[in-house]
Amino acid sequence: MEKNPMLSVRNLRTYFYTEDGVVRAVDGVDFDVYEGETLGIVGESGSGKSVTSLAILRLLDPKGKIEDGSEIIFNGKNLLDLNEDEMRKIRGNDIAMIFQEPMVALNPVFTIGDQIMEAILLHQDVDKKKAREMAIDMLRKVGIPEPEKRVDEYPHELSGGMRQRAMIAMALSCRPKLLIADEPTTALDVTIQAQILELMKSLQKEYGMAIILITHDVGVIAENADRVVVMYGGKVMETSDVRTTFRKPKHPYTWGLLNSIPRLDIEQERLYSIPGMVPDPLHFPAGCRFSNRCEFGEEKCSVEMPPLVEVESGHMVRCFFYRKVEEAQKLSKAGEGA
Amino acid sequence: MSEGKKANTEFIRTMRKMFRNPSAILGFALLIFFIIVAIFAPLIAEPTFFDENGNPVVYYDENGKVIKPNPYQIPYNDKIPSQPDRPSPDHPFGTIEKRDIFYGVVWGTRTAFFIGLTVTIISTLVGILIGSISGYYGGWIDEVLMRITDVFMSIPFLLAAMVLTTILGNGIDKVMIAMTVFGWMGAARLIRANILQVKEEQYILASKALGIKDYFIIMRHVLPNTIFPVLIQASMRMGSLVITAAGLSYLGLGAPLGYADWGSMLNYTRNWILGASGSTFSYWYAVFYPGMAMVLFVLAWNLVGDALRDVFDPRLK
Repeated sequence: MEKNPMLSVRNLRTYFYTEDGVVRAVDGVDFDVYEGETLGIVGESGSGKSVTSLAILRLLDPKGKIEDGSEIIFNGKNLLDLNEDEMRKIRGNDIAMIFQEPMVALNPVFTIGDQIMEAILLHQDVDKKKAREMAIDMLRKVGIPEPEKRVDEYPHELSGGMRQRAMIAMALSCRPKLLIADEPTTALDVTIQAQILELMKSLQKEYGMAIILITHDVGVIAENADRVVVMYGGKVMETSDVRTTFRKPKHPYTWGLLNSIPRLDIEQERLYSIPGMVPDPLHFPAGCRFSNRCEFGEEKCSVEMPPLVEVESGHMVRCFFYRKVEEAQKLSKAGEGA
Repeated sequence: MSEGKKANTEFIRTMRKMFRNPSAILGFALLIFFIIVAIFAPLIAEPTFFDENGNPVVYYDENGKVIKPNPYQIPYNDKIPSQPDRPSPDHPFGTIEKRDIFYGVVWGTRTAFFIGLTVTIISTLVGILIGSISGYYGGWIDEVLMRITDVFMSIPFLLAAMVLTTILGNGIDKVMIAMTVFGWMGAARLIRANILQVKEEQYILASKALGIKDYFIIMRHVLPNTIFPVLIQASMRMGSLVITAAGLSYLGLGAPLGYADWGSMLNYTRNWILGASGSTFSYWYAVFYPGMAMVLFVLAWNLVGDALRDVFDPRLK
């Protein structure tokens, strides 16, 4: 069971130095990604999940700084120690990324074939003809019909789902070991979403790569991830395998998220929503960052930041009162049963 | 094979779209007309020497070869009076200061293209270089380059051009240097602004995530998405540069007297521009023909610029 992780993020802190103050977008995040698995990172907008993914590839804009003491260890190397040239060799080749908006993530002035070939020619020692064959091959793999024809089409000639497939082809063209998918299906409609996720799953099996799946959609995580990291306010709130977290959440925030999913099996007058708003990252509340929205909070919560503790094997929770959440769940289950 | 065919239909579609607009047709027609005049200038208005009686002569050098006159110098003809003379079959646009206006207008077309193209191309390239470095890298590089741009912009152009030509001396080439040195800022600012916008596009981030080098990102991904506004602006500038050069020539800074340049031809008319006493328009042809050439030339480039914008600006689609 105990494997070595291919990617370990340790104490990742990413601060943005703005004119209004320091934004602690990611503040001490730890997680591991193992070979061949899918790690889901879930959280609301502003929870720091996208910043985390950009930090791994060191693609933050100049205002954002990865603080000293952070570690991103990929295959034994700390990516933060590499120079720009070495980092460029990792990007696309070892770690690839796909983005939320397939509409704008492809350059409108080049054919999709050109763009896929660009990545292949950059990282692999092949000539143009071979690269073109590989691009067509890749397009076929991601399920684009008539790839010999599509390879010469421009992004605007493809539908949203096809573009996201092309993006995936581009990202996977160099067989990365790790794929970071930042909200890969958010901009697509539901039927296409399912197809794209299915495609990612089958390619993952074929290539044996690991995926970091970033989304705000708990349902997508539940169906596709092996393990999950729940982020809030730049901190990890809860992490475990998907089953445990979704069956028996221990953090009030996770439970709130799960309760906000519409359910077909019970009758609901009104959909639950977590009270309050995501705090302004410039002014997080003192103590636990969820304390001002938490239904279970006590005085202690707004003074002291709870530590991330292992409550069961592999199940970490950042809450002083996770037992209260357990109790509340029992009650609500009982209520449903009645 | 299919790629070529496809590009071809795309091209035809673009052309069709462009020529649906009558003003675009007018613009291109005028431009083509000027190009034809410039190319066939030696046939339309043959450069010749005239002897003291005003008859065409041919001079030979010591090897017996024909000495060709400098075509850009409007032939000086003693048969023609100093004061302006109205159009006649021999001189369809009239004459002024012993020179044929028709000849000057025809060869002036070449001068106009030469000045316009050279200055526009060089100043646009300089602008693109400075603007793209500034926009892409940002930070202190941007700050320094943009402040330099501001300094250049803050100097009144005419004053700067006059000072520069005083230092360098008169002449078309000096005017062109002045116009290039003080003419790149618009392109630089425009391309910088566009790059700032394109830089935030996700496909730039996506190409960075694929490990592509900065140089290639600028050349392959940023510039092609920002270049069209600059090209359109450049084509509009082509026309206005000719006006500016003419203005400088009119002030006596540009082309020397007798040079086939529309601006310096207007310089001749300074003494006659008010007409004879009692009839203001008696020497109209001295101003009208070179002036008309200039107006049509500027109009042609502006219409072409508009047509290009209509076709290439996605926001107007």
